[in-house]
Amino acid sequence: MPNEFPPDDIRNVWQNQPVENAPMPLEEIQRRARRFEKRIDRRNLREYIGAAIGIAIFTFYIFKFPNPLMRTGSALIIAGLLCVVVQIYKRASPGKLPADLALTASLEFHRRELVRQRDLLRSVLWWYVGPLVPGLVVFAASVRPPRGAVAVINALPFLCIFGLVLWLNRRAADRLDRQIVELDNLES
Amino acid sequence: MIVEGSTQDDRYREAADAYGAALERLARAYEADPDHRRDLLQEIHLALWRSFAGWDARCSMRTWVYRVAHNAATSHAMRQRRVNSHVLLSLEELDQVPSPPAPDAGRQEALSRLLTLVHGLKPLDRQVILSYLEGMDAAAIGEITGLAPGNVATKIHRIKSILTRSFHQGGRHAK
Repeated sequence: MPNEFPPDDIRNVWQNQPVENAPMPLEEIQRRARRFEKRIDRRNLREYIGAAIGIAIFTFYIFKFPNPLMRTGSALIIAGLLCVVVQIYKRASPGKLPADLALTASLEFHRRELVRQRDLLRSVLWWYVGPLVPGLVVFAASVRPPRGAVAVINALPFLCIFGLVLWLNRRAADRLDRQIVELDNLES
Repeated sequence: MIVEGSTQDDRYREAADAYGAALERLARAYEADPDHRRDLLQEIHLALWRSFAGWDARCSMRTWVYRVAHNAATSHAMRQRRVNSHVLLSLEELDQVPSPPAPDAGRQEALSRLLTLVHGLKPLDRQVILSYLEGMDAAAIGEITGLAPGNVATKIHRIKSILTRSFHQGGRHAK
């Protein structure tokens, strides 16, 4: 059987493939773009609402309870939450990739973003857990003045939560590390 | 040609009319699964429409369209690799792999073999070979990929060698 495909015609074969998908109407594209932007807005809103609820609760405590230690703890927690929100806004927002970047630059950008996010997750102790610790310690001490083993029991729930946060973030950072290695393999 | 003052929608329509078929071929080169390919094609069109909000005509529309499309497709491919990981090769590595005998079949078989070859390439090399197959010269490929002209020329040389071995064991190089 003769070879029906001349090798010089590879580009021609490529360019003359049958088209299988009908073009998406412009209205559908605009609708999807709006949906995507709303999803991002909702995600940001959720983070800020969470912080706002925490701030509202501890503000209520400041006015509700006369105990100065509890008031100080609440104020420190509010300051810690504000600090975390500012850090999330400043550090955790993903960089925006210019859509028309050439691929070599685009891969570099992706790698930088992955490294930035990994380092952010690894330093979560300092910018996420750290600011909340002083307020929570003072607040816990005000609820039941700790003595010996009782102090440890009081601190246990916070230690568990913070340990979980650190473990989850470390796991996510390790996952990003693997993606960075994979990206390096793709580029080399 | 885009006229001054044309809107994001007008620019997108013009690009989709001119490069719609090429974008579909590009999606086919990045995604083998038909359902995922349809999703990818929609992602590319969405990225393209969004990109034209900030288009400042620094480069040609063709360069812009291909850069946006390749970036969207590469992001998609990277996401898919996390789900379905397989080894990708560079042109240099592929050039060392012995080819199976040339197909004694028609264009459909040739296209299928070409897609298999393209699907196994690393992103940058995939972008170069696709641009080559779309008929672009080294300068245009360099503009889209960001590679130096000498690097593009070397890669095109390898592409021709691989295509020749894969599709025509006997001799002539692909154009």
